[in-house]
Amino acid sequence: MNEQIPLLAFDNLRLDIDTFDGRLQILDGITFELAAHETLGIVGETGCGKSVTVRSLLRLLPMPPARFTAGAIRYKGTDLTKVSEGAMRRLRGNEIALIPQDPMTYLNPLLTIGRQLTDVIAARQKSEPRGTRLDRKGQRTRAIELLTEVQLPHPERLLDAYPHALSGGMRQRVLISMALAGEPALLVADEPTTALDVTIQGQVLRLIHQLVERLGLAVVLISHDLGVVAKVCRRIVVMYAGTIVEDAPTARLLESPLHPYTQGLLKAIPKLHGDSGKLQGIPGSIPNLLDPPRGCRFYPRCPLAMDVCAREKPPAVEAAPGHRVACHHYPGPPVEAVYE
Amino acid sequence: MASLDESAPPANGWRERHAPQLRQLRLYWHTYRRSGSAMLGLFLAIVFLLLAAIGPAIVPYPEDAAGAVNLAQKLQPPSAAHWFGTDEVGNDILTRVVVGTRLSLAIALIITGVAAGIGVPLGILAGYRGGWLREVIMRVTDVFLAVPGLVLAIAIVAALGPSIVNAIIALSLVWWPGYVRLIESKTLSLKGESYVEAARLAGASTPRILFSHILPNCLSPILVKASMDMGMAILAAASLGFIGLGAQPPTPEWGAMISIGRNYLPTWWWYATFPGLVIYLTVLGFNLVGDGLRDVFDPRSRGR
Amino acid sequence: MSEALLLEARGLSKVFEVRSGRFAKASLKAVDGIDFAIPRGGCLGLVGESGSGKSTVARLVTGLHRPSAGSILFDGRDITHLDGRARRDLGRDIQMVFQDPHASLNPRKTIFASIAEPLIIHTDLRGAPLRARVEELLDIVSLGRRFLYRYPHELSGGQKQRVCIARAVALNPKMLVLDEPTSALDVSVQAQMLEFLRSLQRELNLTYLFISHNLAVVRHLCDQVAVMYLGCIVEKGPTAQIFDRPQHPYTEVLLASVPLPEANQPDPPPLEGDIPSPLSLPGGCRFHPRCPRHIGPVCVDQVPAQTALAPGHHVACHLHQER
Repeated sequence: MNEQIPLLAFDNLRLDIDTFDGRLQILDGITFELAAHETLGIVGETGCGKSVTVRSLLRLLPMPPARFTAGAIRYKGTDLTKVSEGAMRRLRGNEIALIPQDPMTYLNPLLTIGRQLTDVIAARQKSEPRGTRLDRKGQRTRAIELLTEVQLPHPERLLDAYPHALSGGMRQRVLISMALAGEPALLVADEPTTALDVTIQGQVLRLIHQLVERLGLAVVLISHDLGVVAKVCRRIVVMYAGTIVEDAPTARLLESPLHPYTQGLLKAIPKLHGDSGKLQGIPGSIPNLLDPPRGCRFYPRCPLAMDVCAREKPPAVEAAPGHRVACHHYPGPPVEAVYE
Repeated sequence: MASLDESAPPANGWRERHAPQLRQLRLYWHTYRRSGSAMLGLFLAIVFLLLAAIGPAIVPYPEDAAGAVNLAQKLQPPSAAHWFGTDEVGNDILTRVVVGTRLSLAIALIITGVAAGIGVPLGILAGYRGGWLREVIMRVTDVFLAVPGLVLAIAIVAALGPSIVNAIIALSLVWWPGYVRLIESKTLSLKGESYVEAARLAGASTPRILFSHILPNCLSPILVKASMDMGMAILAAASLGFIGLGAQPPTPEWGAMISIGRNYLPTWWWYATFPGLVIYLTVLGFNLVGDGLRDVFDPRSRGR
Repeated sequence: MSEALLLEARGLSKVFEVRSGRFAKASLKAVDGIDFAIPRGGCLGLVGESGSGKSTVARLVTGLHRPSAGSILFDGRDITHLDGRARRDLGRDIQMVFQDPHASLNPRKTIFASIAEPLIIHTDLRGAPLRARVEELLDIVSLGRRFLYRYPHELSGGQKQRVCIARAVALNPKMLVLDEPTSALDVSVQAQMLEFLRSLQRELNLTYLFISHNLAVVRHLCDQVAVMYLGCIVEKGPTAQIFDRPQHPYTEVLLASVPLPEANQPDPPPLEGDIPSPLSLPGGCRFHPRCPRHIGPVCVDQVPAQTALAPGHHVACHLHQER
């Protein structure tokens, strides 16, 4: 058992957002850990809170109306929910970097790639002691290094190009290089390939995979696409309506999912090869977070629901080594959910 | 995220059927109320609208509005009998200002209405049709916009002869191009929406698409612009009146009053000041309302 | 044209004039001389990435764009060059469901008004009979009557998409063109939607042209598939056959690039560079600059012709022409 404190630990985090209609209980007890050099995928459908989770990590949410109501986010032991905005700013980019979803909106169309990249490099330099900071030429060299790192051809020429001249895949690589500029320990990727074409997606995922291996980064990858997450991550966390329902190594989760929601999700994915038969969706819709169910949040849609599920929230238990589930059926023999 | 109560029985009352619209209105009101300046603007606008509506019925000296001469009372300072003082023929300035409110607001309403009435259809046509029709409409619009509005209005009124009606005509002619620009760009963006394509596919004729799909979605920018235009139109009409090209004496038009009152500054300061003050307050009020409405309709500021 | 085919496209092309640079005009060849056919009751999947032209094909078939060249035959009639009236009438036979359900419904119209619109335009139904028909359509798409007077923003993505489908089948069309109808939906909702589309096809005797970039979805729903790249069809034929044994290098790479929900997937074969802009198309075979199985000058100079590998299975690749 590893005695070191994990790089990142969410500890029963609860987050509410005040809206015109009332108080939305967006995150309800998020708990998971990430060790250094580990790759974790967070999957879930619309409204599950996966994006909110990572944005709360980086405090990119407007803090009122969003509020932490319980729990902690511990990065290298420090509780991020309690630190100042100044401390968060020093953390962002330097320790924890974000790769966002849509490359086009994150690049300034009026500035060259080189300028944007050197701006990021210069900003990161501020945390270095005065004597060792790079000058303009050094920043340019570093920029070329970073562009080479993400396998972009002719990086010197790219420095003078504008974002609109680049394709979607190239822009995403530029954003990845900007994320790497601060030499972060943790990389957070929020649907990094959703906006890209399939073949380009394949290339970018391969790049992320290679970078992770080479640079030893820890990665949290968010996606609604289980295939994408399976490609890059060793461990997967499944979220539903602001709760974590399952947390397991990738192979185990895909071969023997334990939670009824995960099972439903996997059965809903059509197969690329072979006949899928009749696809089963999950009937119903996500609960109203203004007034969520008192017990398990999946209870209204679960075909295996029991009375206790309506009354009590299921605690997360370790049903198998490294495999945690939050379901009243566990600990116990694995169940199989059938929809419709 | 829409989570509907799956078990709600289909209700048919007016309130149930229009529940979504009512909620939307409440949401607008809630957003509007958040802005202090917007509420101030609303207060001012309502005050002046009320004055325009019922003011002339409750003024202390109704005969003064038509310019009854009362030289014994001339140029009296503000007092209990005459809150705003009197002018050079002894008329109560308060009365004239209040009656002038109805006049100014009516003028502004007509100008805005006519301008929108001409500009919006032209803008929609230009945006939707494109091609040479758009070129023609936009170039004509550009020509009008190139000339400073008030200068053009002055030229038109000078040609037609000074009167309120001609001032209204002149200002309406100057005002419509602004709507064309606004609506043309809004229509261009709406044209590409999927639901417009779907309507075309369903076989909708062009008039149907314009009335049923494009126009309703243009209403928010029109409303915002119209509110702000009310204020600017009042100012413009007063400006024309100030140089003698609008209302003619003894009509109690604010601009005309300032024009004469100017000569009595600084000793008999009340004559020019009070009409000036109400112009300022009305324009401010409508501008703030327009600002507030723009924030309300801006999707980014909408609460969930 | 054989009785069994509902739609047939021959040499279909579409060129757009676009502004390139400050003053110059350039031609964007979105679709370049393609042939395909859909049998009655069949489902043809059209797959491809950005710039492949698949969305343009959808709009050519429904009449939203006019072809620059080639012909389209529908149910025995030539629908390539139709004037205003005839084009509007085509809406009774061919309808389309769009990609983004959130944008496909006028936010200011109630669900009733949106579904009723095609009926109001093309039929005499009004009042009670109109309402009855709209309710019938809601039943067909399994939405309750309570949605009649709601506004789009109150519905979920899946519900909105069903409303769009209800609107599309209102006039009992023979064919539906579905442009990425499930791309904006969550997986669990997508599964229900796909099964619904399948049963709807049987129930209403529809023929589908299904556009998608999601290959697994196409595998599930479509018995025939055509793979497009930069305006050309590179391979077409029975879906299962093509997906299991792809013959065109692009099809191979495409299939290998799809991330599957399986542990330890191999990396796809490396593909050089990005998809070229349709404004500056490579000569010869469009795919040659990136092709891992490039065989030489013939790929650069000559456009490969469609070769029939088996009845109904065509490939456009020089590798297969050598044989």
